[in-house]
Amino acid sequence: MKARLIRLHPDDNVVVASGTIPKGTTVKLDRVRLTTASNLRMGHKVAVRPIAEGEKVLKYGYSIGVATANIEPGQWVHVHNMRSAYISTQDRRGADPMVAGATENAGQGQSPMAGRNEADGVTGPDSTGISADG
Amino acid sequence: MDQSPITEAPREREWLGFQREDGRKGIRNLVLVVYLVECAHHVAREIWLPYRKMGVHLAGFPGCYPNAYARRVLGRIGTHPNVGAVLLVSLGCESFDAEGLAREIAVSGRPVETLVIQQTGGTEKTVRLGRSWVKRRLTDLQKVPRCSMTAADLTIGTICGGSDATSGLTANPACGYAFDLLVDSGGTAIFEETGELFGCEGDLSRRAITPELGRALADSVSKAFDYYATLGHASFAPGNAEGGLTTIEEKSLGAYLKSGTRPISGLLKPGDVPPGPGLYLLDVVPDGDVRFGFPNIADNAEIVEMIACGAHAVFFTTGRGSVVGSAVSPVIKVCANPETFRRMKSDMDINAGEILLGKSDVPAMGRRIFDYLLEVAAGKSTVSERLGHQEFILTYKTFEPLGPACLPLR
Repeated sequence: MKARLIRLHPDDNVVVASGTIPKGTTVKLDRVRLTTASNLRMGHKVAVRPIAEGEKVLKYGYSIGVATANIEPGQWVHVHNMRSAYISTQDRRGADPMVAGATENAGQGQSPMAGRNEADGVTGPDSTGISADG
Repeated sequence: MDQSPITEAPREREWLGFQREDGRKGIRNLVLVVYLVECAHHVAREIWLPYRKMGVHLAGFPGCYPNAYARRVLGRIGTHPNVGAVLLVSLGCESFDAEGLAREIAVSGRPVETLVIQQTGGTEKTVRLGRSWVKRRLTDLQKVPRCSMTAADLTIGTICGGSDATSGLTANPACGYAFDLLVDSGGTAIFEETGELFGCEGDLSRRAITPELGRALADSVSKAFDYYATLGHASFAPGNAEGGLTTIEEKSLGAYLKSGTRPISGLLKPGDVPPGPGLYLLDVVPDGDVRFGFPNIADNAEIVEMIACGAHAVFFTTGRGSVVGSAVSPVIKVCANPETFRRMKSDMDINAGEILLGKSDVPAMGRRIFDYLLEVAAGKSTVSERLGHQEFILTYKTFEPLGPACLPLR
């Protein structure tokens, strides 16, 4: 079966790849036509509407974080152009493997739990694979 | 999330379980060997080794300092419905309350023996005595009375480990559907990991059976947020991002789908046995200041906590591919990612990735998981049981007792 894009909720501004989808693939989704701006792997997200910097990214009809750049339909949405509204995302080196300087954006902005401690974007060797739970 | 209707009544199936003297019903009939400090671990393992594939399991606590949480969890594990007899192995000078634990197990009607290595005279003598005790209990356990069981007698936990973006599309919603079937059958379902419910607070509160419980559920997520914020880490591993998950909220929403759509009847802490059927959230994040480090050092710590709440078996959903099982209760591994399933088929019970390939859908997969659970409850071995997995982790934590709003039906 050919990989497709899955829309999980009508309000969502991102959809999910059910398998590998090459760059330049044109997909018709409901009434929208979009062309993937990069290769997509299974489970990765692509914008179906323009998402402005600071706007919420919606999946399952709920916010999964905030855009850190303007995102065009068809663009891959991941750690390079969005961040958590809660606690920053780390990887094995304390920065995202796919995007240099990804942690610069980490931990900034308003926490959804106002008045609580803001998590900082921890970098460096100490952050190596500590959160082992999956 | 909207409550999904159940169009077809869950199938009524009956099997023979194991009747314990305290009234509880088990789906396994095990002898448990328990070390009470790491210094007794090797001796306990030597006792267990010859019988490890004959219904004898190994568990324990490594620390020498006392901890009320660890004592409580080992009490629940030693009196778990799947356990028929318990051998405690102590070095002798550790501070664990061995007498209290032995008393608690004896009161439940289970045979219990304590071997103190310093008193019996060392490794070899203790191993000899221990093996002989275990061997006799294995014979006795064949005479444990059997009893009729249905899904209404089951308590089931759910956890995800090695999640990727497929987890929230396939295995987690399918397990959620199986949870709905279990709750509709009168069974008891436990989901957990408040550190993976960020962004779900509003929905959790709406599903609570009382407004006070709704606030307690949201508070437990807020407590988890504070805890993780102090540590500077979310429960988010590198593999999560490589697998397409970007933020803890996104992972949380995917994980939350495991809970299904039924109303939430209560909030538990590790070792609290649900007072009645229904769906419960288990709060695994310690109370008070951050003291002993990460709340969930690895998946098996939470599996142990759900088993301590009485879980007969655990649904384990995985996208990246976990291989673990558990001591005491069977673990059913539901693989979310069809590519992972192809690579690690020999470690998986169910291929929920078929949903992504268009070969199945969430309700059909949920029903398959539920039917598989009933087979496992009736005695079928899970893949991790066949492979001999018996992981067990118990470390230091601190908990306050449950607040008055947490169990409205108690």
